[in-house]
Amino acid sequence: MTAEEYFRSDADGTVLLVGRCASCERPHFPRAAACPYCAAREVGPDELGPNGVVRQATVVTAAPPGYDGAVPYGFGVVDVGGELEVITRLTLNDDAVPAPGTPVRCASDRVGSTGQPIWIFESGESVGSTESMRSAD
Amino acid sequence: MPVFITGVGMHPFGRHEASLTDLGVAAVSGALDDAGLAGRGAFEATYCGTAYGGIATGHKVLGALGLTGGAIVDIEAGCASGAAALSLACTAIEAGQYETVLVFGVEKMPRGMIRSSFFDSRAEAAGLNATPAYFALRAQRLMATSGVTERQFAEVVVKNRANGALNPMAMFQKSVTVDEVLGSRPVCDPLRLWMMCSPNEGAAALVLSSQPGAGGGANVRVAATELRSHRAGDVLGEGTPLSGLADRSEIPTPTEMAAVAAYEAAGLGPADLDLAEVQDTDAARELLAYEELDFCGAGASAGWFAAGHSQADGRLPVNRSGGLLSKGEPLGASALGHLVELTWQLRGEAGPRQLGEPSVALAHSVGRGANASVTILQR
Repeated sequence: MTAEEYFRSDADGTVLLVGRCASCERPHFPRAAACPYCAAREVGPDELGPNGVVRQATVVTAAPPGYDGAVPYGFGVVDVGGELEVITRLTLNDDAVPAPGTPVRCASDRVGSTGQPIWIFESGESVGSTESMRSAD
Repeated sequence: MPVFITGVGMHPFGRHEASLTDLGVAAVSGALDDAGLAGRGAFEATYCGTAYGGIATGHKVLGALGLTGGAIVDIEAGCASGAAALSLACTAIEAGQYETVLVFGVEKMPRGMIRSSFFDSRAEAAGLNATPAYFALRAQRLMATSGVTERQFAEVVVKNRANGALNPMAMFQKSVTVDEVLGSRPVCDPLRLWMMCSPNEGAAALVLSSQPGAGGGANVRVAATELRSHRAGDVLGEGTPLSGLADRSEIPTPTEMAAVAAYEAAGLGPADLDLAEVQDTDAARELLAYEELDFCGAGASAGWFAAGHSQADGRLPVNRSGGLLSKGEPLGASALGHLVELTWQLRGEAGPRQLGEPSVALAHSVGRGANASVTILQR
């Protein structure tokens, strides 16, 4: 999982690198060799974000296997562009995740001892996670 | 060609000192004894479901019993591993390849949060493999779409644990209260520790035959068994993708696809069922299964559960064994554990859990892959 496979950041923010089917025109993330919905093999590059809306959100309080980053951390589903829902980390504000319906914005982050790059969505009041190392900084 | 279940056996689910092989030996021996079979040649092939057992798990178990020599195939299909083994065994009998086949599932799960090679090391390093969080998000979505409440999640646990208190094969054999469940440790909102099943250890086995059993008991046959994988589009499906479509209205879940196929193959519908064992990895998953298996309409699980239909004295008792919330889940064995319980019920041999004289029963499993299975047994 390299940043180049999943997202791109510049001064305007971070966007997700998605694939879009030439046949059914639906987006998927991450980009795949074929459309996961209709199996068409003509898939072109597209981008979605940085803005999204939280659909579901929870807090991970115990580190899952193989993860040595900070806990707790936010985790949820964000709607991007009204057509795709993505699994994502969410920034916490006073140990709480943004509620469903909250507008959020994509950013890049690095977590754990390896500095694993990862996308994250944060709400307007967020100051970023404790491990945040914005690629745009 | 019909497929009959002529023998069943089980090692209790829980945490045990016994080795993986010993767990399998206990279940297989029980099934062979139940079928009245002994010695090499009593069955022609073996299908072994296991996800964490490692290479040649089936051979180790049959080797310990001196029963190798026939074909032995290990099968991994996540939580549906045992059902996948059953499906292949049934197909072999129906095709006339074999007359008598052994199917078993066995597992010794590592303690703690399930670690799955499904997630690569970088996904793990990013914390994307927090399995309980996926369950929690799916539970939240069910609350939003079906009006299910957190209290109802607790009530599902209460129902299943009360059933499990009657089951010597269960890991937890003690009833609990709603307050106790709601007071258990929060894991990922809205799920609490007691609302989630425990990965554990155990084994279950069946003998399948093209001929009815020789004993005087009721003959139980496999009316249908169907296995399906996911179609892309559901961000919170058991396929655990990183994305899905905002509009997934036209994309059936693997459980829905397996159920439709199983009902059609059996020539039966939900109204014909007398009882069911369904995947209750967490309390919300059981309620979602009511909708996917068409026990009730889409979005109607909260009301259907509140009406008491899935209780032991309800229209369609669900998880009379105590479910995975009581038994725990050894992945390779859990689906076959459902079928052992249902066979006992259909034979009238379920002891204090017995539900009258049922004649049609459904088993459902779904998990990593995604893989979903629906099997219908008929007496």
